[in-house]
This record gives sequence, structure tokens and C-alpha cells, in this order.
Amino acid sequence: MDFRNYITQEFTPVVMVVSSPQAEAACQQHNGLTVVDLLRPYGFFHHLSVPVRTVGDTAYRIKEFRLRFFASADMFQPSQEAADEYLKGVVSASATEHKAHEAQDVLQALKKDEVADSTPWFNGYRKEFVRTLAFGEHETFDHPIACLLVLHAQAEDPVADFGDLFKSAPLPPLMKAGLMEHKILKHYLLLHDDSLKLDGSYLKAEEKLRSVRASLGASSCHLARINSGSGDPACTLGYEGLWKAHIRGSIPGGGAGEPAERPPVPAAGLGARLTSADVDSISKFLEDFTVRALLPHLEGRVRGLNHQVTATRRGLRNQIKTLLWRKSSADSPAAPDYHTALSTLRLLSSDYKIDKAWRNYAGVQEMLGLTLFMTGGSMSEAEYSRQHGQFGEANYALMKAHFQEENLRAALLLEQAALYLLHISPPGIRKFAFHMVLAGLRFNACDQKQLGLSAYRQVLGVYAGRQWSFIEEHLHDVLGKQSREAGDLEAAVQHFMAMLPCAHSPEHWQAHYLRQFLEAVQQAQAAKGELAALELPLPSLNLDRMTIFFDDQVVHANAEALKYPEEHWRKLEAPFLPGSDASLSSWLDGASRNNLAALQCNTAVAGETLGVDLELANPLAVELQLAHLRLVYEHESGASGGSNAYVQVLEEALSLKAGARARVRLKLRPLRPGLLTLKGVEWLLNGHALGRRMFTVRKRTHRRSNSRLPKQRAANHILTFSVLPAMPRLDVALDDLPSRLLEGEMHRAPLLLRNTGAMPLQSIRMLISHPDVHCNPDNSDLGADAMACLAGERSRPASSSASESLEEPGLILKAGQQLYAWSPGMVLAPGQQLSWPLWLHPRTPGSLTFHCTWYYEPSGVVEGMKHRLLRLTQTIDVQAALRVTPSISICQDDLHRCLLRLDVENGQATSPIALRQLSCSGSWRVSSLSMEGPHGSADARQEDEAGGGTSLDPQVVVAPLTRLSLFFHLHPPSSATGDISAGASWIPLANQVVQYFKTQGRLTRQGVLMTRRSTGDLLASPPPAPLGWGADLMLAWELREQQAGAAARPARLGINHLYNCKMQEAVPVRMMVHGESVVRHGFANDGMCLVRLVLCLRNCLDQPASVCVEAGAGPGSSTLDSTGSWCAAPGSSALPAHASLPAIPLGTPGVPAGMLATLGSTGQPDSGAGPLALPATPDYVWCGRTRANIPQLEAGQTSQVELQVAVFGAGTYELTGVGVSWTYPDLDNLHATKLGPPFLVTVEEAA
Amino acid sequence: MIVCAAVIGQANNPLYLETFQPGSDDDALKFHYIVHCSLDAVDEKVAMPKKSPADTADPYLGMLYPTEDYKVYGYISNTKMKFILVLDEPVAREDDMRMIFKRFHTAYVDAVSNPFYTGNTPITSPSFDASVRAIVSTPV
Repeated sequence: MDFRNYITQEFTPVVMVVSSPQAEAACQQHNGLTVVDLLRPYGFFHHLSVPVRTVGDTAYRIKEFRLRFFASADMFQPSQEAADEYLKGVVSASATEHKAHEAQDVLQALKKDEVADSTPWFNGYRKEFVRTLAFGEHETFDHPIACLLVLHAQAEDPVADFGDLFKSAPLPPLMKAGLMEHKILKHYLLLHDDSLKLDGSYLKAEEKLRSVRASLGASSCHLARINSGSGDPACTLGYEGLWKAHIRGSIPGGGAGEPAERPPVPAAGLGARLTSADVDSISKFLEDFTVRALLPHLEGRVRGLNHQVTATRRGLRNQIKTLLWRKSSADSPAAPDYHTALSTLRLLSSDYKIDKAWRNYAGVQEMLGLTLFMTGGSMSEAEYSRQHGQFGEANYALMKAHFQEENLRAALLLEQAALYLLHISPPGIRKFAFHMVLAGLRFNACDQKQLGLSAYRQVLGVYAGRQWSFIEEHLHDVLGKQSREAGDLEAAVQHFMAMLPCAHSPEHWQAHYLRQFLEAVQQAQAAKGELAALELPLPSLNLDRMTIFFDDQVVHANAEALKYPEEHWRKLEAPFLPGSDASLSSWLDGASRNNLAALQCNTAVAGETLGVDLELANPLAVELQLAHLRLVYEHESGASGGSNAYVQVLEEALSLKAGARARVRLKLRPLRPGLLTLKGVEWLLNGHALGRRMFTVRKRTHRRSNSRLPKQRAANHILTFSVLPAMPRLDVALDDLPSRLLEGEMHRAPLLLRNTGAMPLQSIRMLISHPDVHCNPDNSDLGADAMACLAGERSRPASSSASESLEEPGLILKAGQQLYAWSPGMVLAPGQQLSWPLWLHPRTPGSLTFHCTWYYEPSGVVEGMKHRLLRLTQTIDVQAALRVTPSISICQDDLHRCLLRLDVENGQATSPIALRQLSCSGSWRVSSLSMEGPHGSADARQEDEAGGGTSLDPQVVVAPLTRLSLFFHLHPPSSATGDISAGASWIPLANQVVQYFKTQGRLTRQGVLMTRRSTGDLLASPPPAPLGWGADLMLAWELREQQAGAAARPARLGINHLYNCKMQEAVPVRMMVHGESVVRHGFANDGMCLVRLVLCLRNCLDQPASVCVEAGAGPGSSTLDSTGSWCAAPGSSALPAHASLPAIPLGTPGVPAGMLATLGSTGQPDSGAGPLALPATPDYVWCGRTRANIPQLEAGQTSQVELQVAVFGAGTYELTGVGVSWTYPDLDNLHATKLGPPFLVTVEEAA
Repeated sequence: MIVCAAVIGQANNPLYLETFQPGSDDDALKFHYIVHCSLDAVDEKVAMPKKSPADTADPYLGMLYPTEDYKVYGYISNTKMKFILVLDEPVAREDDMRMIFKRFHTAYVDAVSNPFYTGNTPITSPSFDASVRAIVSTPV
């Protein structure tokens, strides 16, 4: 309300009404209105034009005029208590009416720049409050300037009655106290009641009026006619609103211008019996009264007073007169009057100040303020400031004002002060909040809960989500408690819930808040039954890290398989799905894929589980119990909630320790086809509060759709599933798969395929991605242990009745991938399972990662899915075990044999490795050094089946982290075969598995990429072993674990394949010198001793050669390096110990081969004779036939050349100097010359 | 000695508020209050008219207001990020304070340069916390 209007409306002259009981009764009985009520609506005149001249000579016209009417009985100030009580009622009524608890959002309003003064209760309060202050001791404002006496027209003697009426009338306090002169303007009104229906009564009344006029003055007496209506509700004037607007609330005990009790309202409403004629008569009367009597009276008074003031200039009693005077001038809209009033008031105020009449002084000051306002002066009153936009000052004034006030008033003032702060530029939001909180506290203290709530809510709007944790905590705490008291349990729950994430608070507070919240939830549940799920902040869910797991056409057997992108698997699965090769996709495919993506829909199969991985965290220091943790879904059929015929929901329960973090997979199993959407998660916190969090559906951004992220990842965020009818489903279990294997280990893991779906399946195919993993063509040897499987190959019947076999034993694809297919006729019924042995043979230390994928088809026709795929990825750590380095050199004492040396290193830190078998495949044979002949002995055997080969048991244990060397003889292919007794623990080389790995190893080693060659082909035709081709060796070993209970586990068996072991230097023609090593000769008789030697030559290549032998080429020869050495001392004692001679220890009968293995020795034993550091003095002469020519030495053939050496003294000679040169005419005239091997001969003096 | 450091966001929301006084649990509440109140002082200082048009605003706001036990200093960046430090004794030289705030600001810039940090959210980076602690423990 505009303050100027307010002043002109409220600060208007008062007319005291004194009515006789009869008149009151006549008025109240039928209309429910007192006489005052009847008059009030017509106390406003706006079409006047009354000239007035007060001070000075200029007259002005009053155009508008207001009168206030009060019954004289009610013109007193109510008691403080009654007034406060009443005001409280006013405020709460107003608050309820205006829905105070629906507080505005201050910040939003500020942004829009439309902060509304949404405090109607304040205006109501202010209005009523001012009223309760009326008729105060120092208050002359509401002092009557006129008195209206009302009599019933039926009064017998109106003139006397008027006199009695005035005398008996209760006077306002100031008049009683005698401060005010009793002589005020009197006016007389006779009320004629038509409802009495007395004949001619109105005429009588007019007569009485005339008599009254005669005695009291014609202009001051009037007659008004009322109750001329019938009282019928149908004929009322409809002025009810008009009457009501002027009726104000009654204060208990009366006072402040209103009666203590109001008359009862008639059935037809207020003013039921009033007709428009009645109303007109009243308004006409009032206008007459005002224009003819009141205004001239006032004019005279003001003039008189002014005169008095200017004359006396001082005097205590002047106050009232002045006020009266002011009143009239305030009513006039003309400015000069205000100025006159102002000057007079100033004068007065100084008088009062001197007189120390403080109360009166205050009153004058107040009026001074008002007058100043009207004249546009300046002052610091709050209202005034507000009007002028000086909100800051207003706030300050109100803040100052509130301190000494009682709660309600203080609260209201604070609230206003707070609101003013919003109008300051920039808005003082924080101060506003602070004031509001104070106001809220005061409101609460005086029981205005609604307003308190409203104040707090507005503040909450300022702080919510701003992370001022303590402030928010306080606000929610108060709001929650108040809502609970007010019975708004749901709001209480909301507020208490908002307090829950209070990680900054100490533990006992956290526990308290949680308890408080749960209690509120329980109360709310008790009051309203089941509560809707709340957006509980506990536990905190990280929905960004949510992943969805589901199985559509593709089933991932383990999490590791999911880590690989779709493209990776597509490539692997290309052999199953010839049409779906990524490289073959056309634009048509692309279009359909995009459509699918646009649908944002995943595929799932009825009866199979969907899962969502969620990360839960407990931010509190209090343990949380979560029960019934489950997914919220919506099925096409409308089903939702818990498990039903359409969906089975698997609930989880867990407890989160303080600060704990957990990843949970929530599962759900659709049971019928249809569209299923995952909506969110639901849980029951600590047994009472039902929490729920909805998933937000994120739009797939453009960047994601063409990013490097796998398609699978994107699909993991799509929450809608199209559920297909039940399908078969293959599950795989690799039971016995250890996480660690040794390099070269042969491990067999049973592969368990099981149909867990609802339909039979068929046409299983499998693809293994890694050459180190292999599948047996049949599953008969599942029961036996690995060793038995490997060894039992030969003894096993070709096919046992119980076993099944693959239709295709295994196609080897590029990059070592293997494709297996089971017979299409084989059907795996639901629940049925299939076991198959899977062989693992890791060959490089590090880790072995292999992928397996299975393809299968439902045996019936299922809409939407023709086949399914199962994917499995396994990673196994591979530890270094046995490192074998072969080297082959020529055996010095045989033209055929070679010497095989194996340097074996055990990489295991704790366990020794026992070597159990050395096999040589192909036509090469191996024998231990102890064997004299080439044909082995009891512990070596000859493979006589396909591939052939020899095996022997070196019986050596390699201690952890040691190296040793083993020596064996190796026989070239041409040698004859021998018989060997078969032992159970031999691993046959022809074993399919061994053979496979051998082949694969060779392929990977050679880097050969073979395309589509079946293993069968490879097995059937082992590569021919030409003479130049080296030997393929296989070393089998066993890890001897030293832990207790190792016996329980089957031994860990390993195989190292050594491919194509060749001689370090290829010698086309091998030679060897035979002869007696000790010759006795009597030098006394004969000075020259002839030693006969035989040089054996062998052509090792497969082409004929021509060989030329030349002995005794001189030292000067450039090609022959004749370094014949001479040892002076006869007898071996003279020989230096280190000069161990070649070939002597090797092959010596009786020395077991194992003895030769020198533990820890890394160096190669001295095989070449160190030439003694003596000058080469040839003490021998080659004689006889020193040159022999063998024109044609056939391939593999041996030839002998006899040679003679003449020695001239006893001693030990190293005979060298035989040069052999060869030419292979067929091999591009390959030509070379080599010095023959030295030969040691000891010549002794014969006795 | 600095007993409390705070970073307040553009919407006057606390992004970082840490107290460095070995004391009771009430500290957090107390300093929340002090920092919150200091924002009014910041607003006032920012709203103060420039002395001359060419005057560039100094990010360092100086002492915002003294309480009985503490002195509150403020600093405002060009992006209206507020840095508040509460000291239990006044600094000897204003320039020291200026330097401390510069370092504080730099630490903040480093923290929000993290591409994984979302603007206007509480700073939880341990390295930021560590650098603030370093600034606090070695004031000058």
C-alpha cells in the first residue's frame, strides 16, 4: 500500500457514535450490523467541493474527505495481553490464508528481478497493530472531533433521551481524564425501523424529528429509515462485501474501536433487511452531516486554535488543540496546510522538550514525521525509507527496532528487514539469510510455526547445494524438526534425509542424524502406510561407473573376455560366420546397424540374467546395512517392482563398513519376451528407509559413436532390452586351469561345456586362438592323468565306445588358430554337458593369453537369433622352467655318430626338475654315451611306428637354478634299427598331442604362416629327413615339487622341443685315423719304426665326391698346417694334466654318461688338444704312399686309405699333416681342403 | 600463523576449506562461520568504487575484518574466485601476505588445470591440499 494513501486513509477525523440500545437492537437484530457498521461504508466522500479557509486568507477546496466512526463504548485501548493475543491470531490466520509455508525461491526471484514482498501477514499485522495502539494515553489521533447520537425513532421523548444518551455515554479515555474539552460537535440521528410494521410509524418519526429539530437545531438532526426490506435472502442488495470490508476483528474484552462481540449474522447475510432506499438515506445523511456541520466546525476550530497558538505560543494543553487542528489540515490535500502544521508542530515539540513531557513530545515528533513526509521532507523512518527506495536504511531502522520487541513483533520486523536487504543493490543475500534465520527463530519462539518454516525455507533456497555444510545442516535440522512437529512427516523425512551426507561431522552426530532420519521414516510409515522410495544419499552411488552386463547373441564366459573389443572377437569368429566378416560388410549392413543403434535397445534372452555393476560407497563413519538391493525395471507388460511372472529380480544384501566401497552386481532375470527397461536401483537402508536412485539415460554423444571405444562399451549404457524367447546357452568351465604354468609344461585342463539354456543346442564349433592350446580330437582320456594320456597313446584302442570325437579334428588357420567342429548331429540337451580335454603347452615365459570362442545353434527355430557365440579369454602366467641349448659336434672316434651336448638350465627357484626322457624323432637316433654300440640298451628304445625315433631316460635331476650339460651320441639316419622294450612311462613321439605341439612349435619357430593345412596332413606325412636335415629332439621332464603333499598332485610334466639340431660345422667328408696307439720297436736293431695308420673317410653328403688324400705335406705348404708336436718324455706322466687328449675320456666303457655332467660348469670341456709350446720339430716322416686319390666316393660311403709314418726314436708323437681335399662335381664343384685329425702314437723301446 | 585457508567459488560456495589448527572439532564450524562472514567484507571491498578510471583492481583485498582472535585476509581473482586466509596474528608486512596469496592462487590454478577436475566443484585433489599445507607451514 502506498504510504501516502495510507496516511490519508488512516489519519482521518473520528466521529464518536453513541447509540441507544433500542437503536442498536433495531439495527443488529435484522442486519447483523451495529450502527457504526452501518455508517462506516458511507464515511468516504469523494465528490465534495467545500471551500475552507484556515490560516491566512486563501481558501482552498476540500474534494475528498474521510470519516471514521467508532462506538463510544469501544473507544479505549485494549490491554496489552489481549492485543498481543489477538495479533497472534491475526498473523497465523493470515499465514494460513496465504500459504506461508510455500516460500518463494529468493534466488530465482532475484534473477528475474521480481522480488515480491510476499508477506501479507505483515501488512495484516501492521494494520491491526496500529489499531490496537489507538486510543492510547498520549494518542489523540483517534480522538473524536464530533459525536453522533443515535436514537430509535420510537423513543418517547427524543430530546431528553438525546441528552441522557450523551451524559451516560462511556467516553474515550482522554475525555474521561479531562484532557479534552467535552464540548464537541454533536449531531443527532433518529433511526426509523420499518420492520416493526406499525401503521404510520414513519409519520410519527418525522414528527419527532421536527420536534427534535426545533429544540436541538435544524441542521444537526436527521432521520434515517432502515429495515425496509423483507429479510428474504432473494431480495438482498448484495452489499455484503461492502459491509464486511469495514468490519474488523474483535479483541477479547473489546476496545480499539470494535465491540467485544459481534451481533449474530442473519441467515440472509449482513444487511439483510436493508434496501437501497435505506442505504441512500444513510449516505445522504452523512453527506449532509459532513458538509453542513462537520467541515465548517473544523474550519472554525482550526482557525481558533491557530490563533490561540500564535497568541500564547506555549501551554501544555495546546497539544490537543494542535492535534485537532493538524487533523483537519492533514485531511486537506493542499500543501500550504502541511507547512503551517509543520511550523506549529515544531513549535510544540520544543515546548514539550522543555517541559520534559516525553511522551507527548514523542507523539508530536511522530506527527511531525508524518507531516514532513507529506510535505516531502526527509526523515529516517523505516516506512518512509522504503517508499523512497532506501532499503538499506530501512533495514537498519527495523533492525534497531526489533531488539526490544516481543517475539512476534521482532520476528515480523526481522523478516521485513531481511526482505529489504534483497532490494539493496547488490542484494545482500547472505545478510538476508541471516536475518531470515533470526526471524525464523523468533517466529518459532512465539509459536508461529508456519511463518518460521517459511523463513527457514527461504534461507534454504539460498544455501541449498552451496556446500556450506554446517549451514545446510542447521537449516535442515530445524526444518526437519519443525515439519515433524507440524505433522508434515514427509517434509521432515526429506529434511532429515538431506542431513545424511554429513561426512564432516563427528561420528556420533552421523549416527544421530541417521537415527533421527530412520525414526522419522518410521513415524511417517506408521502415519501414512508405505512411503514412496526416497532419493537416499546413502550409500553414495557412482552411476557414471555403472556397467551393464547382458548376454545377447554373444555370451562372455568371463570378465576378461569382455575386455577385448568387439572387433577382436569378430575377427576370431570370422570362420564361423562367413558372411559377417568385417571386411565384407556393405553399406547395407551399416545402415541396419545404425538403425539398431538408433533404437537404443540391447538384446537379451528370456531366462538369462542381466546384471548391472554398481559402485557403492559409504561416506559416513557409521556402518550401513543395505537389504533388498535390487534393480528397478519396467516391463513392456507393465510389470514392475519385485519378482513376478515376467521378471525375476535377484536381491542383494550387504553391509558397508565405515568408509567402505563396494562393487556389486545386481541381477535380474527376464522370464518372458518383451521390452524391458532398467530404471534404477532400490534398496532398504538399515531396515526402514526405502531408497531409490534412477539411472539417467545419457544420450550417446557423437564423439563416442565414432571413437575408439568398443561398441560393447556403448551398449553397456543402454538400459532398454528387447527380450527374446528362451534360447540354448552354452556355458564353459575350465576347471583345472591353474593361474601359473611352467614354460614347456604339458597341462591338460578338462573343458566342460554345458547347456544351461532352456533349449537343446547343436552344431558346436570351437575356435582356439593360440597355437599353444590344443584340443584332443576325442575325449576318451579324460579320466586318466596327464602322463597316462601322453604315454598311453599306443596302447589305447583306436576309439573307445564311451568317447565322442570331433567331426573335424582341427583345422589350423592362420596365426595358429585352430577350428574344431563337433558333429552337427550331436545335440546337447538342456542341462547336458560335454567334457573335452584341452591341452596347454606354453612355450615362452611371460604370460599366455588365449581366446576360445564357441559357436552353436539352437536345435529348433528361434525368432531373432539363429546362432549364439560364447567367448572366453584366459590369461596364464608362464614361468621359466627348463632352458635347453643343444649343440652337436662330430664324434671323433666314429665316422657316423655325432656328439650331442645339451646345456640344461633349471629356471625354477625351488623345485628340482627331473629329466625323464630324451627322444629323437625322425630317422635320427639318440643313445647315451655309455652305449657302445649304436643300437642302445635296456633303457633306450626304438620307435617303430610312424615317425620313428629313439628315446632314452637320462636319469638326471637338475637342481633349482643350476645348469648342467649332458652328452649323448646321435646317430644319423642311415643306421639300422634296434629293438627296445616298451615302458609305460614313455611318451610316444607319435602321440597326437605331442605331435601337434611339435608341429606348431616348428611353425611358429620358422615363422611359417600356413594357410589351412589340417593337422592331420602334418601328422600323416612327417617331413622327410634328408641328410642335411638336423635332428628333432624332445626332452620331457617332470617338476619335482618339494612341498608337503606334493604327492597328491599329479606330477607336472613338461616337454621341450628342440628343432633341427645340426652340427655346428657341417663337414661334407668326415675322416678318422685308426692305428695302434702304442707301438713297440727295438730302435737298437732298427733305427726307423714304421707305424701303420688307416685313414677312414666318409662322404656325409648325398652326392658322390672325389677325394684326394695327401700325407706329409711339408711345413712350407701353405694349405697344410703341419704342426706336429713332439713330446720329449716317454710315458704319460710327462703330459701336463690340463692337456687332456681328445677322444680319450669320451666313449670310454664303464663311465656312465651322467658322470660327465659337470655340475655348475658352464664352460665347454677342452676338446681340442692344446698344442704344447714346443717348437715344431717333425720327428717323423710320412712315407710310403703319401697321396691317394679316391675318384668316386658315393654318398654315405666309407673308404679307407692306408698311410705310413716313420719314427726314429721312442716317445709320444702327435701325427698330423694329412690333408684331405674333396670336390663334389654335382654340387657346383664344391671344393675344400681340410687337415686330417691328429693321431697320437706312443713308440716304446722294445725290451 | 595461518589457521584456516579457503577457496570460495563464484557463487560464493566453498570449494575448499581447511583448518590448520591442532584443536577440537568445533574449529571447522567456527572457521566456516568466519569465512562465511568474510564474504560480506569481500563484497563490500569489490563494490568499492575505483579511485580513478585507470585504476586496475588489485586482487589482494587486504585485511577483510578482524575478529577477537583472528584476522581475516582476502584475495579475489579475475574470475571472482575468492581466497580467504584466517590468521591468528596480523602479518608484519602486507607484501608477505600478498606473496602468500599469489602462491595460493598459483596452487589453485594448478589444481583446476587438471583436465579431470570439473569446474565449481569442491577441490579434493590431494596435491592441492599438500601445496596449500606447504604454503601454510612456510608462510613467507
